[in-house]
Amino acid sequence: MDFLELFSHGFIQRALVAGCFIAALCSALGTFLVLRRLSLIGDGLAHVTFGGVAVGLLFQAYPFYVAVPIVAASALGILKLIDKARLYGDAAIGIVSSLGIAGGILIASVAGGFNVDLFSYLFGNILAISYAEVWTSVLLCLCLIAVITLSYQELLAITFDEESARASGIRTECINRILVLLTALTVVLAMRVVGIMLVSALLIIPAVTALQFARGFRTTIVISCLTGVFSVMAGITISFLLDLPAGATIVMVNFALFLLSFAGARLRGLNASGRPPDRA
Amino acid sequence: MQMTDVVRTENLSFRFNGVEILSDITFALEKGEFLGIVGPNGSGKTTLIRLLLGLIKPTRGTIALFGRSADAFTQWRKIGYLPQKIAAFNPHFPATVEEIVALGLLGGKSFPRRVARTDRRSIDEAMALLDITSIGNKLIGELSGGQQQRVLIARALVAQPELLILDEPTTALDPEGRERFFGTLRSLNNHKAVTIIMITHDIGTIGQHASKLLYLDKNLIFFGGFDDFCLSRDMTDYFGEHSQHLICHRHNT
Repeated sequence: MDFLELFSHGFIQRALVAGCFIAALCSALGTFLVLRRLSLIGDGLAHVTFGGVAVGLLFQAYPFYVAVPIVAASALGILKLIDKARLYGDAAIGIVSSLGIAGGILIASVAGGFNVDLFSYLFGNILAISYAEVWTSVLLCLCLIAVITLSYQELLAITFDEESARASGIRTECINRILVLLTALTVVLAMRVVGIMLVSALLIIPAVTALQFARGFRTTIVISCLTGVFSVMAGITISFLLDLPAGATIVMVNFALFLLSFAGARLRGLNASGRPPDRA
Repeated sequence: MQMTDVVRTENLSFRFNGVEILSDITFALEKGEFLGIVGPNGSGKTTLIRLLLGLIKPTRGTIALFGRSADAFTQWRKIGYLPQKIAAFNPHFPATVEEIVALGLLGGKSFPRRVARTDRRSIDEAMALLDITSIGNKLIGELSGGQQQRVLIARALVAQPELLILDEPTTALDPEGRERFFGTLRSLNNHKAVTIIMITHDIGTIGQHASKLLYLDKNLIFFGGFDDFCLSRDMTDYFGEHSQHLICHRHNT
């Protein structure tokens, strides 16, 4: 197939547009989550998405619309567990995550077992992205840009030192809620791109790639987004040309970029001081 | 004319998981006073300042800041806070020193909080005061522990607060940095009448600088000036030989 002909297909255009916006969303949110040591919230919410999709399939409703409120409620539940039950973030995520998976398995069992639909959500099917999902990803991306633009300083303050941010009168609870709700919506959208099993890769890898060499908080967010978007575009193209699963290919491209940035950062450190970079 | 207390607590108590962490703490500070909070580990020192900052709510009692109930207090710009070494400090945090110092200005701003060009002077002054101007573009994670502490102190000072709350601020500083830091505090306290509350285990040094002492061990054991403290023989159990050291080196502020 001609390389340019690839982009003439409507389903590829939808996949690329939605994929790029979702990648930008994941990468920007991932920067905050990674730095706040909440990286696995994406994984946990993805597991809850599995439960939400199972509920949708059980009632023959569009799984996306059923999963959104369930995952959003779970995201707020994680915050409540951290705050009220005074659990560590990873423990709270673990509880909600396992609850989501267990619920999904039970519902799938009641519905008569797993079927092809459920597997397409588990491993992603970016070529089946609907127009509704494209528009939702664009709108969500605009919302996130607005939140980051208007609350950039608050987000930086909270990410660096939440207690001092609260002591300076910043409404940290409100911003935390907005952040996890955006993450919840993004995770549900991202399951179409890479699948429930790999969604956390889109949140984590671009951010840690950017952290290898970015100087400044704003630059980190921008580089993380560019890395995520490039991975999705390259991943979709490679997967289509080589007939590979798109989700897994996107993650592999992401990982390759991480390796490159990691190697670059080590080399730069060696060149500058003759020894590996010491940031402690 | 009666001066409004900067901080006033009445019968302040805090209980957590059924354990009384603080019980009936009553004290008041006027503008320009320098309070050293001392006491053994687990005595509730950090809990007390977290209560003052509104980070936790008291089980009983009241707090007033600048004459207003803490519940209704909104002028957080007036308070600079330096937490104990940030427990979850991420050594790979990508913000520069300047970005971190600028965060101290957010308390005085309303939504959307932005660091404006006019804030540049405050940021430069705070960085110069702590001698960190030359590392302004470095990432916070690239600095030594002592340099990081100076950055956080600059963040606490950048908004020119009227009340400075410091939780063990000198732990990561070398002797020279500590001397310089206390010089800065003395200048703020003497010339700008900044009220200071400082938690410390450095009994020897606090006696040289603080005008009042609060000794805490779940209950308020002692609160008052150093002259009264010097007459109190109960303190030797905790301070031991440092008690004498503290008295001998006290400055009149």
